[in-house]
Amino acid sequence: MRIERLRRTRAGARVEVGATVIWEDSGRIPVEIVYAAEGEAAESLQPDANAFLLAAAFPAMRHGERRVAIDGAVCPRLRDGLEAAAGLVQSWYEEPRTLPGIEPSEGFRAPAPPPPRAACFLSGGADSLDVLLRNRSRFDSNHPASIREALHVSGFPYVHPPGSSADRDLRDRAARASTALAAALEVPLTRVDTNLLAVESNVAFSGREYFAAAYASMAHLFSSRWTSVALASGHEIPAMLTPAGSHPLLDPLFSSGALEIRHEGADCTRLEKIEAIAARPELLPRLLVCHEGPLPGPALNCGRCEKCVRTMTELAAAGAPAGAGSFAVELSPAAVESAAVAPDLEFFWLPLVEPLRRRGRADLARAVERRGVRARAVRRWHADAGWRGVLRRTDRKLFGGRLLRARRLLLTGARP
Amino acid sequence: MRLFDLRREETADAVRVAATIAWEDSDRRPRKIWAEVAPALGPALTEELDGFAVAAAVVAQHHGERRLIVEGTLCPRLAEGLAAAARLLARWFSAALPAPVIESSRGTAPRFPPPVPRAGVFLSGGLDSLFAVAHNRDRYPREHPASLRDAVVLEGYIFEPTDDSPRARDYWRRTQKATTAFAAAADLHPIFVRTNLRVLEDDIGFFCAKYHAAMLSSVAHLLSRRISSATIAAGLDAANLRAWGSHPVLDPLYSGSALAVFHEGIETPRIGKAGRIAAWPEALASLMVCTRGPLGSGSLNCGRCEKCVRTLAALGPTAARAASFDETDLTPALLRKLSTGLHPWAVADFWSEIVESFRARGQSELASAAEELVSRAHVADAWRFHRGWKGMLRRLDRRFLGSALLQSSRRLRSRRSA
Repeated sequence: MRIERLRRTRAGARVEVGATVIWEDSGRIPVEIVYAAEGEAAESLQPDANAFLLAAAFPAMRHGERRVAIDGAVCPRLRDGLEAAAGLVQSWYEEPRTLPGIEPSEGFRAPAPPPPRAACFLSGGADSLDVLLRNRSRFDSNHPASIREALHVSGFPYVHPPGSSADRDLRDRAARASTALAAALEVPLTRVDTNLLAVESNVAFSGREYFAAAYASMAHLFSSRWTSVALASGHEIPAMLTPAGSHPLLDPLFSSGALEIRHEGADCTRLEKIEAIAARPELLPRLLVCHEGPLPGPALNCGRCEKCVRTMTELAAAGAPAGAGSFAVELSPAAVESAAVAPDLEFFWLPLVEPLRRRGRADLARAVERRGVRARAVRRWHADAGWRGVLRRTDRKLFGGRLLRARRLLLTGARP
Repeated sequence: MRLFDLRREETADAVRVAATIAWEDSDRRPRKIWAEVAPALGPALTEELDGFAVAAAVVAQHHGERRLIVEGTLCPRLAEGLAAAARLLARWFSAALPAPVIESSRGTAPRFPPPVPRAGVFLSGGLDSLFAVAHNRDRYPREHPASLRDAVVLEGYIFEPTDDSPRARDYWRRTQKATTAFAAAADLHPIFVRTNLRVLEDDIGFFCAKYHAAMLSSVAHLLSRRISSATIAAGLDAANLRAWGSHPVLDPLYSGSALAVFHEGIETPRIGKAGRIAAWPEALASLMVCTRGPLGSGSLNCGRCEKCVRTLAALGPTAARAASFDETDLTPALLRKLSTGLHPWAVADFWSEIVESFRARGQSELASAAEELVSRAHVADAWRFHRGWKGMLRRLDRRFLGSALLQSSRRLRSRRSA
C-alpha cells in the first residue's frame, strides 16, 4: 500500500485534509481518504502522516498488504504501538496477523508535543458525555488534564447504509446532540466528517479491531494542538473486558510522542455513568443513545429499541424523573420485557433490579428479572447446555439438525 | 485499612517519607511504611499520601479489608484508577476478594505535574528495563519530553532493605554496580530509593501476580515532584499477555493527574530485546538478571540458574561471552537440569521463543533440550492449575477426601524410592 499526496485545502470555514491510498497487493481500487473539519479547532487540522497511517494500517493488514509506504515521517512510538496492536489482535482472535512493513518517506521521527491541551471525542452518547462530566468534576480549568475541547466524528462507523435516509437522520441527530451537549457544558466543539468507509467498510472488522485506530487517526490530525484525546470506553472492567476494536489495552497503543490516546471510563459501570448524567437533568434532553432510524418526530431516540429501553430503565434506576430524556415513547414494564434479549448485554440489566426497587419501581424491577430468566435460557441455548443441549448436539451430529427442523415445522407450520 | 500520619524524616544520610497503615478488618498489627533517598534528592519527594495509597490498596484487598481510607486528600484520577485496579484484580484472581472502597478523609484534589515534563524509568539491570531505555533512546531525541532522564533503582524490591544476609547484600552490590554503569552509559540520572513497601506482605506469589507494579508505582508517585512519567518495562509481550501484577491494562490505572505510569515494551518479544541489548556493548556489560548468590566472582550473573541460562540463550554465544556471566557455555545437559520454577507458564513462553532461535543458529541439540524444558513447563503448569483428568482427580480428592489420595500416593512413592 502507498499513501501519497497528503494535502490540505480550505473552503470558507471548512478545512479539509486528504490522501490517496493505493493498494499494491490486494488488487483493490485506489481510494481518496478525506477528513473535513469545521469548528473551533478546524484551523489546526493538518495532514499528519501518523493519522493516515492509523487509518490505513489495519485495513492493509486485513487485506494482506506487505507494506505501507507513506509520504512524511512516522512516530516510532506509533510504529511500535501498531506492532503491539497486531500481536494483541492475533492473540485475541487466534488468527494470524502481520503488520505490513511501515516505510515512511522521511523516516521515523517523534513529533514534539505542543503545550498541554486535553480534548475528548463527543458522540452525543452516554459514555462520552460521562468522560466529559467526570473530567469537569475532577479538574479545574487551569489543570493540564482539564478537557478544553471536544471532537465530534461523523461518517464512521456506520449503522445504516451510507447515504440512506436512516444514515442521514442518525448523523443529523448525533450532530444535534453533541452540539447541544457541548454548548451546555461550554466546551468548544469541532466536527470532523470522514469517508473512512471507503478504505474499510466492513462493520464487523471495525467493531473487532479497527474502531479505535480509526478514531485515533482523527485525533492525530490535531496533534499540533492537542496533547491528549480521550476516547470513551464501552467496557466495564468489573463486569466485561472482552476483545474489541476499542479496548483499554488497544487504544493507548495508538499514541505518539506528541499525542496520548486515552481510553477513559472503563473503570465505571454503565449505571454509574447514567447516575452521573442523571444528576444533570438539563443534559438529559440532549442525550442520544439510539442508532435506529429514520425517526419521524423531533425526539433524539426512538424509545423502543433495546438500547433506548435499557437507558430509560437506567435513568429510572438513577432516579431521573419519568419522561426525562428525548425518547419518543415512555418507559413501561411491558417495553422492558419485550425489548430484544442479547445474552452478552444482560450484564447491563442485572444491576438495575435493586436500584429500581429502592426507587419504588418494583414493576420495572420484576420486568428486568423476567428478562434475566429469558436471557439465561437464550444463553443456555447458545451454549447447548443441559439435556436439551445434549439432544441438540446429538441431533446436529447424527442427523444434521433434522430433528430440530422437524420440531420447528410442527410448531410453526412453516417450511424449513 | 487506614493510611495516615505522613511524615518526613531527615538524617545525615537520607531523606525519608513515611506513613502508618492500620488494619480495620484483618487482625494484623499497624505498620510503618517508608521510602528514602539521598539528601540531595530530598526535594523530589512528595508530601502527599498518594504514593503509599497505591501499595496499601492492593495489600488491603489481599487481606480482605473492606475499605482503604486515606487521611488526607487523594488525587481524583488515582482514586478512580485504584478502584478500577482493585476491580480488575478481583476479576482476574478471585471474586472472593472484593475491591475495597477507596476513600479519603479530605476528599480529592488534583495534583499538578512538575512544570517541565521529566520522564523516569525503573531500572533493575535486567533485560526488560535495559531494553526499555534502549528503545526510548531509539525513539526520541534527547530534547523530547518523553526521552528518559531519570533511572529509579529500588533497594527493597527483591530483598527487604533490612535483610542483612550475604545473598541480599551481594544482590544489592551487584545491582548498584550494574545500574550505575548503565545509567552513565545511557545518560540517565540514577535515583536510588530504599523502601520497605515489600514488608506489607511477603508472599512471593502475591508479589508477582498482584503487587509488583503497584509497588513500583507507589515509589513513582513519591517522586512526582521530580518526574511526570514513570515507565515500567513489560515482562510479557502482546501475544503472551496474562493476568499479572504488571500488565498494560493494570499499570496505567496507577497513574494520577501529576504522574503517568506507562507499561512499555509489549511489542517486542524477549528475543528481540536481547538482540537490541546485544548490539549495545555498555548495556550488555551491565546486564544483570540473576537473583542467586552470593556470587564470589565479581560477575553480575551466575550463568547457571534458569533466568541466566534463558538470557544467555536469547543473547546468542557471541554476545553472551561479552556479558558478565560466571559461565556462558550452554549444553543440553544444563538445559535438562533447569527448574521450571514458580511460574512454569513463563518458562514455557520464554523458552518457546528460544527453541526457534536455537534452530535458526543450527544448534539442534540445544533446540531439542529446550523443547523438553518447554514440555516439562507445560506439565508443571497443568499440575499447578489442576488441568486435565489428573487435575480433576486432584480437585475431587481435595474437596471430598481432604487430599488423602494425594498423600497416600506420595507415601507410596517415597517408600518405593527408599
